[in-house]
Amino acid sequence: MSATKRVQQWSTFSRMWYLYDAQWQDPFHSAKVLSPYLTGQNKPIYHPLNDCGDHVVVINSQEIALRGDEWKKRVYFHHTGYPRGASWTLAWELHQKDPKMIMRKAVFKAITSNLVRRTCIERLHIYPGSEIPEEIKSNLSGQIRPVMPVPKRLQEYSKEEIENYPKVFDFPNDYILR
Amino acid sequence: MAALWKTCQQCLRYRFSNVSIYTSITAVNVISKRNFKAHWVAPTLRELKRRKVIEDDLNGGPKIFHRSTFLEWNYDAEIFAFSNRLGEKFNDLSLRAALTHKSYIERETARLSDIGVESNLQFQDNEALSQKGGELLSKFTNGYLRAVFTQVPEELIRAMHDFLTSNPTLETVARHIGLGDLMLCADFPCKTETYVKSFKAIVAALAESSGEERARIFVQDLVVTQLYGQDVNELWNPVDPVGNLTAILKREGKAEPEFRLIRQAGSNSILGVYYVGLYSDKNFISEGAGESLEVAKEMAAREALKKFFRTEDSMRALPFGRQLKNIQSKIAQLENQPNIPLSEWISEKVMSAVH
Repeated sequence: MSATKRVQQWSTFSRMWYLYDAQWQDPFHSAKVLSPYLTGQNKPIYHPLNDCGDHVVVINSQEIALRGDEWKKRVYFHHTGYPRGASWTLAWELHQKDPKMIMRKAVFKAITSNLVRRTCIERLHIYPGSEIPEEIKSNLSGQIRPVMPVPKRLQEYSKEEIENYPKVFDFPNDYILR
Repeated sequence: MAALWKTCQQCLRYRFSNVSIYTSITAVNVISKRNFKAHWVAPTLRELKRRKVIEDDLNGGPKIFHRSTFLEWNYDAEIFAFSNRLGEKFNDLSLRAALTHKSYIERETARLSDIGVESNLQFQDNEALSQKGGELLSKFTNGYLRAVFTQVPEELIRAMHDFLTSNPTLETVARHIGLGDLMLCADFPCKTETYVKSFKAIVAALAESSGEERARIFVQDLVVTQLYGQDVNELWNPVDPVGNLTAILKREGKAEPEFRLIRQAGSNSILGVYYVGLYSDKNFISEGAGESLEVAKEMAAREALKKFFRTEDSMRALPFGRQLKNIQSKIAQLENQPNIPLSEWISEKVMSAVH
């Protein structure tokens, strides 16, 4: 193989390392977005047997947001295989025990059930906070846009921004609110 | 589909074939039949094949016979067909001389003298013709390369010329125009040198018969086309691309090359890839990729040189045939005019592109 072709081959089949911030994101919708990157379906060289999946590093998995009353109602089932080994764990309980599990399970389900799924999920690196080990950080090469734009909290607005914000009406200074 | 071959009576009797001799050529209805061959047919054929394979292995390959040992061999007709196949006009004597080897003449004279026949054979061998043909071949390929690759340094022209006039390339061409059946030589299967000698002699014979112009077009159409699909940068690339690039930019009065990391992925993993960009005075020249920074840097320098020499992967296709009509005179002119060597290469000197 010529030098140019060798380098072209190497760069075509190289793996990307994406960062995904799960702050206030719906894990199930995020999983749907992340699974094509893990399987490699975003690439023109994709084939189910090609093993061309990328790495995805998920941060702030502690801060994910489930819809409605799912925290109270969603239940994760597990059976140890032994008699009386069935257990039903609520989402908030599971999140307390391990803040990475909900994200991981969601992505696992989003990837099509086949023999490469276990390999793909190995390339998903989840961190509960925003700290990433140096070895992983130096690998990063891209970022995936969050599914829902993160809203800005009132406390995050500066005093000047609040004062200068266009208002239709405001109470007079000497008005006393009951 | 109806069969166009005849089946012998034995085969029909043993039903090796389902087709009879009297099948009409226009088969309108195709009747599918089941295969009723005797139980001993397959095992017999299998055993015969097994024995043939063993014997061929012992003899160093299956037996090959020269075409002249088969039926309906007419050397004069073959010679006539050869020149017509190529669309060229050859002098009969020149062509026959070009195809006759010294080894053949020696063998024939020895054979006849063994028999006792004293003969002064009128054969002429192709030694002189092949010598002349080799020179012409060299000249014509150089002319074409210099006219088409105007931006390229002389070292690469020489490498391309060496590739095109190498024995393996010429042997491929010679085989494919059918010289294997026409050559009169003592060795069979013929050696590479025999093929190459014959081909060179053919070129000289053509120059003698139809003129140098026709011979030039012949070489362009048959030999130079072997360059098609070949990555010319694999035939030659400078040993120190970064150093050569710096020298070229310095000669042109441009700023020193600056290498910058553009992209990277997986630096800590074994599948890491780096993209390095090459800039001169903040102007982008080229980028290169690699599994390490050093490789990426070298590839960026190589890409820059390819860009200067106009030999990138996306370069224009080589012109042949009608596309060369207007530059044949230029090709003839450049046969004796080498390109600039790499040590003096500068883009101002090579601005004029012919094609």
